[in-house]
Amino acid sequence: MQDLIKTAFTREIVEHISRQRSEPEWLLQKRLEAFSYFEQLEIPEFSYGLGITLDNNELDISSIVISEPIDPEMKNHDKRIIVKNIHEALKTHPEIIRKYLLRTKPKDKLHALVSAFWTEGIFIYVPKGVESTSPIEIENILSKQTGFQTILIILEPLSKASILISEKSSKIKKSYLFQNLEVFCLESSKLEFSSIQNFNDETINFIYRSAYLEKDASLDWNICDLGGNLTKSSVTTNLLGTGASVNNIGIFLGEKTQQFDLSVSANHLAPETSSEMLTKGALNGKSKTVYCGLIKIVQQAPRCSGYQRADIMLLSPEASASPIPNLEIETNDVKKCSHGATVGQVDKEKLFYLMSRGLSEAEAIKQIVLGQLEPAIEKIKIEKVRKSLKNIIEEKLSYA
Amino acid sequence: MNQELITQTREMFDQKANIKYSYTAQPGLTEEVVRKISEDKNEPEWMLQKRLKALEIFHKLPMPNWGPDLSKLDLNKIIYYANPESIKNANKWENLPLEIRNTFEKLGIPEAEKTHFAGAGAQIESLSVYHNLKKHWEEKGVIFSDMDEALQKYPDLVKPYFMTQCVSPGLHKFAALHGAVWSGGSFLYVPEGVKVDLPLQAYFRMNAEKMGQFEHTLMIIEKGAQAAYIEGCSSPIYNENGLHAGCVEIFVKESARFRYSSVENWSKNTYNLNTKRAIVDKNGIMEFVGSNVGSGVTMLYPCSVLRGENSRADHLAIAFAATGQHQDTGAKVYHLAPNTSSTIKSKSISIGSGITSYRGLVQIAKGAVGSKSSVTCDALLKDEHSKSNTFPYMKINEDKVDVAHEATVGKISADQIFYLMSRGLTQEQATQMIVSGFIEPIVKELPLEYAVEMNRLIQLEMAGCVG
Repeated sequence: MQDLIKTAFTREIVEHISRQRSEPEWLLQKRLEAFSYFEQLEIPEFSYGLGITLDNNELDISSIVISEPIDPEMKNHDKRIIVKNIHEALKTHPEIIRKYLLRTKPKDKLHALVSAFWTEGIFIYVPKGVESTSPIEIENILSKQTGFQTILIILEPLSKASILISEKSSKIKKSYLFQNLEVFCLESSKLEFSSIQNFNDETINFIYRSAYLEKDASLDWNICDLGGNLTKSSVTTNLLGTGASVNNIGIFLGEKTQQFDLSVSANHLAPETSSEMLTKGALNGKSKTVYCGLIKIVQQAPRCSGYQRADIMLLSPEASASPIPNLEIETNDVKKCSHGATVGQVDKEKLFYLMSRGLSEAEAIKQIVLGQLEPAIEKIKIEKVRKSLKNIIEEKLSYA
Repeated sequence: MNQELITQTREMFDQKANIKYSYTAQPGLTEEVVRKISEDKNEPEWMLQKRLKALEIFHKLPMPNWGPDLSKLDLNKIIYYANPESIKNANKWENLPLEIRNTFEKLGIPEAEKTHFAGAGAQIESLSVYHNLKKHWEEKGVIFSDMDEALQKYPDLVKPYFMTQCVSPGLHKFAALHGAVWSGGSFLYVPEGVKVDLPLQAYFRMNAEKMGQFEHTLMIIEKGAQAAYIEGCSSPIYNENGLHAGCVEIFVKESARFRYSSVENWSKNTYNLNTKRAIVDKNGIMEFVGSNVGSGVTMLYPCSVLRGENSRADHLAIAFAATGQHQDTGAKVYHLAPNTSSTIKSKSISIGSGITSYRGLVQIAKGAVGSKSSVTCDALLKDEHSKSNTFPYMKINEDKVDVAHEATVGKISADQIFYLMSRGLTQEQATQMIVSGFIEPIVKELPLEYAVEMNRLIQLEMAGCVG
């Protein structure tokens, strides 16, 4: 592999990356299609209307370079499931990859950037009827200046799996991660996908996740954003088949000057689909979160249900939160659809009670924050994920 | 039920009156029109300058790029100024021309005044034709007059408040348009400590085709004073689109309390792009009660700016959209001082292919510790093609606060309909009853006549649309 390419993002570079990896022609064409979006689309402004903004001073596109791949560590104990580098998988599963890879239309310039310039990819394939009990673990340790990744996950009918991706930083201080993740859950398959993002406080990361669910498929997203300087974490689920269901859990914890742009959306495109979104978070220091949620039910999708809830706790007078939970309902035949959002503070009475029991103020606040996040953590089915998440959160809160 | 009465009502609102106009401007907005308005009204120089400045801002600002589709609104076709031929601002009902009297009598203005209200005003097109305030309140120093008259009589009272700190012309394109061509409206001044215990009312009516109505309402409630004001709006049906871009500015001073209610029932081809804002000082209470039944497109987000400690704002709203209507309404509250509180309750009903959107903002600024806000919005979708959107924005920059938002979207349940029908109601009656029950919590906050009108309007809109 060649090292750093210090050129601007051009068509030649896209071709270069593709050629270097001996990619088939169709893949180059897909990259070039994404590149044309890259040219057309605007850089996200981090402005959400009505004066709600995030600060993107740290983001400087011109300073981004394409480094060598991060080479994530992949653990898979179930031999029936295929977990490998996408470029290797292209040799063994070319047709499947061709059918699904890069199906998602880029949402913004940076999404198009990663779709066109990704240097490494992960391919996870669960064959028909395979039910796996042990989670597939992927550890991304950001040891280079930038990571451009694409991840493709396919669950064939009646299969079942769980995946955990951990995002961490190595010693390099300021680095970037761009990730495009696509999930295809075919008929009656079940996936629990967890992501624990715990980068250092100078890392800028943009993670775009899209899922396509067919008839009776179900997907659990557990998205935990704990680290990073500027984090854009987006989850879009398209419910394409009757009876498909998605469950989004979002957990975030901010301190210092961390900024989070979290967006969760569910597009109900088929009848009797259901979506649930539960987001819980706490913000300390000068941290800031904009949460955009959307439940969209189209007219052709009767008898759907949607629920959305976001609870944010502010621990410092300089922290700020903007929840924007939207609903777009185009049919009257909804089973139930509602949303709620709250922004609150540490309950004085609870604090007093805990302190009267001998806890220091810091310890008491830590317990209250854990209590705030608990309902979301408890919904994560895999114990291992729950445990490691709790450990990170406790550790993070002890520093605060 | 009241089928006959209902039919009468719709005709009543949709019919135009044969009113003669002493002056009608050419369609389109030019500096000439703006100067003509100002000259006609014999306005002081500062007002003309203000209008011209607003016109300049209007040309600079872009059309809103969000919300409902405004592409069919041709601002060059709108007539920005017309006066009905009448004795200006009659204060005796009998002095008004018969046509105008008939129109308003049909709509129930004088009766309302006789029986329930402390004062009433009426405006057709650009000119106020009738304003009256019961003597009792006049003696206590309460001023309730039309805006043009207020500008002549009390310029010192008007100048510091008129489109300065509350709604500035730079707020958005239609606020700027309003600033350039405003005409008529109500002016209310309640002196310190005076409590007006009966509601004041005004009625605005657009009568001519392609007409624009730009009434300016300015209400100043001094320290410790109390008042309530209610306005109704309607217009007849024409082929060409009309435009209503009114502006309401309210100042609730320390410990004062004010309730502003409106029932807007513009014809279905009116663009109702309205701006309403209140500034609330220490311990003040502002209540907005609004219902939007008419118009093709409505964009209306009444706003309360809570700048004094302990001040409070309550927003209650109903939006009703039938086929061809898009009600984009909501509420905005800025909490700028400590211990301020707000509640927003919004109910919307979509029938046929009507679209209702709730769009709201709750902002808690740095330093507004101890502030509380609660938002609930419920939407009822009647038919398969009905649409409902909810876009609540919250911006919280302070930790010692409590903010909550809740929304539900539902349909009229078959169980409820079945139950009511098993009790002998027709399907239509059952649906109407369920809808009435849904909006009840807000309708009950309106004075009796308006509550009756509201219920009647909704029944009328729903009549014959049960499928």
